Amino acid sequence: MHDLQELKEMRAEMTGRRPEGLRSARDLLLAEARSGGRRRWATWTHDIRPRIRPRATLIAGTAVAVSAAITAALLAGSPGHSAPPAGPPSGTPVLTVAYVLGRAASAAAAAHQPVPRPGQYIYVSSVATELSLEGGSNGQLDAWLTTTDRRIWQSASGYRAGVLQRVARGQQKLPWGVTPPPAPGGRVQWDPLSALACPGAAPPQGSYAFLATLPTAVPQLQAWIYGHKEGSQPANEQVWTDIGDLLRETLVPPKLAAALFKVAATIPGARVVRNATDAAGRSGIAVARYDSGFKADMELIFKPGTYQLLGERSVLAKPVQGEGPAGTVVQSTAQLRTSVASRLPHFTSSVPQSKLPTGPGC
Amino acid sequence: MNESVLLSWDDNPRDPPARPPRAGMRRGASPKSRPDDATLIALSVVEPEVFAAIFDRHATEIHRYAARRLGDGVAEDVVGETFLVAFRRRERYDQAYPDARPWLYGIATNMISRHRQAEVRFYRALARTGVDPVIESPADDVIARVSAAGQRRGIAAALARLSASDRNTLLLVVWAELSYDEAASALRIPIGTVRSRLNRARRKMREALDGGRLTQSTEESDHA
Repeated sequence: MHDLQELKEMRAEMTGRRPEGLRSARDLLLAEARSGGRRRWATWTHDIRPRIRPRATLIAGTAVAVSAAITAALLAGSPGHSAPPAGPPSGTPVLTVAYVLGRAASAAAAAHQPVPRPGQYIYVSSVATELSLEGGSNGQLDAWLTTTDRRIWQSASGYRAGVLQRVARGQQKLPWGVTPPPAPGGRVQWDPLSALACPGAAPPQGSYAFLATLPTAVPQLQAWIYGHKEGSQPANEQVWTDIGDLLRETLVPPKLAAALFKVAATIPGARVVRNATDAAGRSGIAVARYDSGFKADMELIFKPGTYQLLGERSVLAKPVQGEGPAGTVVQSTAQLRTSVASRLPHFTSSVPQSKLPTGPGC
Repeated sequence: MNESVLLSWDDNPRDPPARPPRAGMRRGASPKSRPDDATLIALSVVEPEVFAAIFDRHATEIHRYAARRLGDGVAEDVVGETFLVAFRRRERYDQAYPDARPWLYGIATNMISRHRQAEVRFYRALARTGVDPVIESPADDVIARVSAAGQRRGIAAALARLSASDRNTLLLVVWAELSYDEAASALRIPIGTVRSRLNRARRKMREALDGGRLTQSTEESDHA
């Protein structure tokens, strides 16, 4: 490379700026990281545990047999002698997955909810309990549960920026974990959210407008979900998780929500959990499906009686080394209020206004 | 760093920014079990803010590279865009590569390509005037921007004439100091293509230098 020495020296006096000198670029990344983290958290162990295995989109199109087992509806007045030991007393309905999801579908279809206009925002307030990780001095990850109040405004069209407000509520020690550091109690954090696409582009995934384009007939929706799932988990596991992702922290068109519950009802291997508590402490009835990547049951929790979706929960189904015994709740959510807003709230952010993420850079 | 980025290890920001561990320097070889880039990127899939550590490790280097091609101001935008795009693609990062530099340089190359006309205009200006518009200095200190070596004008002219793909390959190897393997990985081309592009580019650079010697031999003596 001797002949390139002159080129090598050209502009060699230019130095790169240190990260502190690249503050706006770094802030841009962090704003995106915070908004990017709002989706798919339920899949975190899928993503982290098999991390050597590259994520690959599997070829779907698997015809999903509608299980005869789950088409069995409510078995009313089950005779006492056939009830399982921990089952309900004689005369009480035995809840099946099909029944719970069927009721949820009916409730969703009948829900009166506003239809946002493209320029409006979907507002959702919720509580989320998530696993926090911190690098310990020995290179191991320390972990505990963090509870956060979330209020999010997302552009209905996906063409506008939104904002997420997070208020730290507290940190709980995991049975197996370290004592968490003192929580930054009540700290309010505003994170700008990028627009997802340029005006005129197809409705971007993650927006209400995109949800409005999805088929609401069960076979078509089922084909779409199995065809668009990502990740290398078994198809049914992934689709169960994907359905949770689609329902989380957004407004879902009633017919779509109903169809999603019906598609969930076709996934074999789910069961009913009679007493599940969401992140806000509300107890409900859950449908749960074991997830081998997570070694946990992934639960959708419904309000008893009305079968409105309350939230979600992940519960270890077996003891996991370093994570805790079976029954440990490792994450949960509670959706509290959903509405349509015409404008974003006033907020202050550490990100300068001029550097608000514009997303696709239209 | 009020950012709630959680992981901490021996990633001392006061370390010289120039040379992060090279590819092939696996975890065990680095001090204090500092996680490699691949590990951090995998972790960032679930803890997005961890990706800031990738920024802190490599932004300076990427910024320097972009600044050499486009000047300091545009370079910051390139850095911002590069890490945004990298962040959005983090789930698809190939875990077989512990060092993220080739990946980041590949993305940065795409971002720099958006400014191709400006880049070429700068080379031409340098070739024509001997003043490098990319090198920032106080306005009254124009002399500092005047290249001491007449050869540099020939080089700038040659850089301006290279095809974009040849220039990208050449500068990744010479300025970013990527190995042929890393350049191939950054540009997603076979290593044989890296070699052929480099041969072609070097031939043109040599021709430019020879031309420079013929026409600007007096200035060349300053440089020696």
